[in-house]
Amino acid sequence: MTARLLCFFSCLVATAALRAAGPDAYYEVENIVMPAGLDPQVGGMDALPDGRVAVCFHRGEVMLYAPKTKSWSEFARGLHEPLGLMVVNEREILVMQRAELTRLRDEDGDGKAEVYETVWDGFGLTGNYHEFAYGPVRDAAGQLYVSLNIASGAASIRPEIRGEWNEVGLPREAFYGDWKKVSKLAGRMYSRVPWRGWVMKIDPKTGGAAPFACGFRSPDGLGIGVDGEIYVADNQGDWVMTSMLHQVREGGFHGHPASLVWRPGWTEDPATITPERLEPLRTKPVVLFPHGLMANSPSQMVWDRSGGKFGPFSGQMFIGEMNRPRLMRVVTEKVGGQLQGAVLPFMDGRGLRAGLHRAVFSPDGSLWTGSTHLAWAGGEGLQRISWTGKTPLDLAGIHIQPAGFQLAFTLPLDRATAPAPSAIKVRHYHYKYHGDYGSPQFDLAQDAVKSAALSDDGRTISLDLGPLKAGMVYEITLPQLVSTGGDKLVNRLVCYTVNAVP
Amino acid sequence: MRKIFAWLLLASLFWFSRPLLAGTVEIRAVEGMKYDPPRLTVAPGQVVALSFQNADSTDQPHNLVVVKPGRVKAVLEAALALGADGPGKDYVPESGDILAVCPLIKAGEGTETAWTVPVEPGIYPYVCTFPGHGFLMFGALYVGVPMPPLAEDVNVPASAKPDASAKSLIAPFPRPCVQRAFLPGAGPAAIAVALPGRQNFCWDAGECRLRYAWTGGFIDEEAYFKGKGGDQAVIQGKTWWTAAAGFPLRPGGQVPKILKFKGYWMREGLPEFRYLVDGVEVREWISEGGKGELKREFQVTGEGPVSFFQPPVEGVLVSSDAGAFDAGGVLALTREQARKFTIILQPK
Repeated sequence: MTARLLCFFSCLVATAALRAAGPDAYYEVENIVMPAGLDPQVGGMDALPDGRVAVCFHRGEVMLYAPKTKSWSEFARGLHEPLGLMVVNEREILVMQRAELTRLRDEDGDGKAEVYETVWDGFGLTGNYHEFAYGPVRDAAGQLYVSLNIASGAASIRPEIRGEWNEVGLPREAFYGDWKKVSKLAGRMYSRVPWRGWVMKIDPKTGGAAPFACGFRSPDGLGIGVDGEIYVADNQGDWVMTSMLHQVREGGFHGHPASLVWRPGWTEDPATITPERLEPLRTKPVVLFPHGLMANSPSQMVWDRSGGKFGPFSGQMFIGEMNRPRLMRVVTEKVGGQLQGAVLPFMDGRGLRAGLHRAVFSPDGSLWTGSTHLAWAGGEGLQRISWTGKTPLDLAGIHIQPAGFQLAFTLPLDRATAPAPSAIKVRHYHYKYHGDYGSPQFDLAQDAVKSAALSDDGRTISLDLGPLKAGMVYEITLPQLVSTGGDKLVNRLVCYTVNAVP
Repeated sequence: MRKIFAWLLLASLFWFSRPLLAGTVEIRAVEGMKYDPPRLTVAPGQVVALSFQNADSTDQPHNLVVVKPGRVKAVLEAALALGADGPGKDYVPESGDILAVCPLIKAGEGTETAWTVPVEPGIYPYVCTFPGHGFLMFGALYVGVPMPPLAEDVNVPASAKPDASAKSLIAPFPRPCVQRAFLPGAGPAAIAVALPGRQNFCWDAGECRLRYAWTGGFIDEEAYFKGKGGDQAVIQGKTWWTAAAGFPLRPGGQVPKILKFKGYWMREGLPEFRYLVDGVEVREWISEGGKGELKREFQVTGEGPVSFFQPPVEGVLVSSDAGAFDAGGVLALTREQARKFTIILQPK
C-alpha cells in the first residue's frame, strides 16, 4: 500500500519533470534507493566529512548512506521520533528524540553505536502528540541549540507526565475531564511543561541548558546561518498568521504566547491574552512565507557554503516546504540595521518530492533532501540535487529601494525580449497578528509598475512602484524572461517582506 | 457461524452495490489528510446533493473537487500552477476535467452542491486541491462500476486500506531490541525492551526505573507510526509484574530526591541503563534467565549501604543473590554487596 502511494507520488513527480523539458539542464535530481524494510520518512540528516550521509527515520533508525557504493548501514535504532541529527564525527552522532537529546557513539569502531548517552533531558513531556523536538545545531563556540514544539489543544495530556507542571492557566485536573468541553480553555496550543515553545542553548560537555528565546509554535526549521545568527522557521497557526522565518537572539519573544508561562514571574494566561498586550513584546519575523502560495509548513534551512559547487547562490539560504514539491530560497538584506528579505521557489516541477523536511549540503556541494509526512501532507525518501555546471536564469537577489525593487539576475537578460512594465505583476498585502488560526491577506492591492529599467549589463531590472509601504508583503510575478544565451527564467515568483523602507 | 458470515457477506455486498437513493452524497474531511468515506457508489445520471463537511481537528482548510476519470494529476498540477492566484480561487483551477466543486472551507464548516452524476460509467475521483493535500487526500466515486475489495483498490489512498499490506513492507521489530515509545502505564519517556526469549519490559527513563514486565509478543506501535504521534503502543503479551509506586533503590536507606537518566550502553545486545541517584551512579542490566526469569543486575557506586525496596507481588517470586528480602520487601545490602547484585523476578 505504501508502494502504491509512492508509485502515485513518483508518477506525479515524473510528469512534473517531463513538463520541465526532459532532464533538467541545471540541476539533476537523483532518487536514492531506500533500505528495505524501513519506513522511509526522514526526521533528520547530516553529512559526514567522507561524503556519507547520516539519516534518522520515523520509526527510530539512524542509517548511514555511502554514495560511492550506494549502500546503507545501520548505526543505531530504537529512537523515539528522532527529528534532528548532527554528526560530530564518524564515531559520534547527536540525535534529538522526543524525550532526550542523545549522543550515539560507536566505541568499538564496528560501525554501530553501543552508547545512547543522554546529553539533555531537562524538558517536559505530557504525551501530547504535538510536542515534537528539533535540532541540534551548533554555533561557532560549540554550543548547541534545540527547539521544542508546544502541545496541541486538539489533544489532552497523559496521566503521567515528565517535568514540572506550570500552574498558569487551566488546572491540570481539567485536562483529564471531557476534553471537547474544556479544550478551548487550555488554549489552542499550550505549554504546560518546561521549555515548550522555546529555543534552548545547551553546553554539550556539561549538559547544562539555558532558555534562549521563546514564542514559537512549531519550530521545525532551525539553523545557524553564514552570518553566525540563529534562524527558526515557524508554521502557520494560531498567533502565526502565515509561516515565517525568524532571526533569533537571546531573550527574544517571537509571537506565540503559550511559552511565556516559563518566563520568570509570568502570571497571565496565554489562552486569554490579547494581541495588544503581546505586540510590544514581540520580535517580528524577518521573512513571511505567504500561506497557500509559498509555503504552508516550512522546514529545515541550510546555507550554500559550497563555494560555488552548487551554482550561483553561494551564501544563500535554502529551505524546504512540506505541503508541495518545493524547495525555496531566502535572500536577506539589512535595512535600517534590521534584517528583512524575500523568499522564492528554487525548484518547482523539476523532480523534487513533497514533504521536504530535512536538507544538508554534502562536502561535494550536492544538496541532499529528505521527505516525511507523518499524518499530514508530505512525501518520503531521500533525494540528491547536484548542479550540472550550467547556470540557470534565476533571481540572484532582490534589493529594496524607497520606491521599488532592484531585481538582480544570475545571467544577463536578452534586451530584445525584456518585459514591458505592464507585464510584471506586483501586489501587496499584510497579515494580522492575532490568536486565530492563520490570517487572511488584508488590504490586498495591485501595484502599477511605472517602469522596469534594465541595467547596462543586462543583469538588473529596477522596478519603480512608487513609495513602498512598510509592514507589507510585496508579491512580484515576472513574465517569461530570457537570457542572452537563450535560458528561460526558471522561477517567476518572489515575495519580499517589507519590515522597513529605506 | 458460517450462516452468519454468509449473511454478513450478502449484506455487505448489498450495501456496497446499492445506489444512493436518498440523493445525498455525504463526504467529510477528517484529520490525517483523509476523506471519510474514501469511496462511494453513486447511481449514474441522477441529481445528488454533494454534501461536504470539514471535520478536520487539525484546523486545515479543505475543498472537494470531483474530476473526470484519470485526471487527478492534471487537475493537481493545474491547481499548483495557479501560484499567486491560488488563494483567490480556492485553489480550484479552470479546467474541463473538473465536474463538481465544493469550495474551500475551514474546519467545522460544511457546504452542499447539487451535481448531476455523469451517465457514463466510470471511477470518478474526488480530491482536495489545496496545495500539497491532493497527494494524500483523494477518494473515488464508483458510478455504474463494481467496487473491488478495499485492499486491492488503487483508487483510494493508502490511509484508507486495511493495515495488513503496509505492515508486511516494514520489517517487524527484531528480538532482542530496544524501542523508545509512548507506552501504557509509564511516563512519556519510556523504553520498551524485547529480551531474546519471551520476556519484555518497560523501563521508564523519566523515573529511572523498571515499570513492568510482560511475556509474549513485543509491542504494536502501528497506530503511533501511522498517526500524528500521540498514540501509545499496545503491549502484545501478558503483563505479569508491575512495580510498586516509588523509587526502589535507597542509598543509605534514604528515599532519593534527584534522579538523572544518563542513557544506556549496549551490552550483549541488551541495554545497560545508567543513572544517578542523588549523585550516585547506578548501572542496571536486565537479562532473561533459562527459566524465563528476569535478572536485574545492579552495580551501585558510592559509599555506605544500600537498601532495595520490592514489596511482594502475587504470583511473582522475588529473590536476590545478595541476601534475603524481609517481610516488608526490603533487601538490605552492605557496601560490598551493593557493588554488584542481582534481583530475580520469576513468574510463578
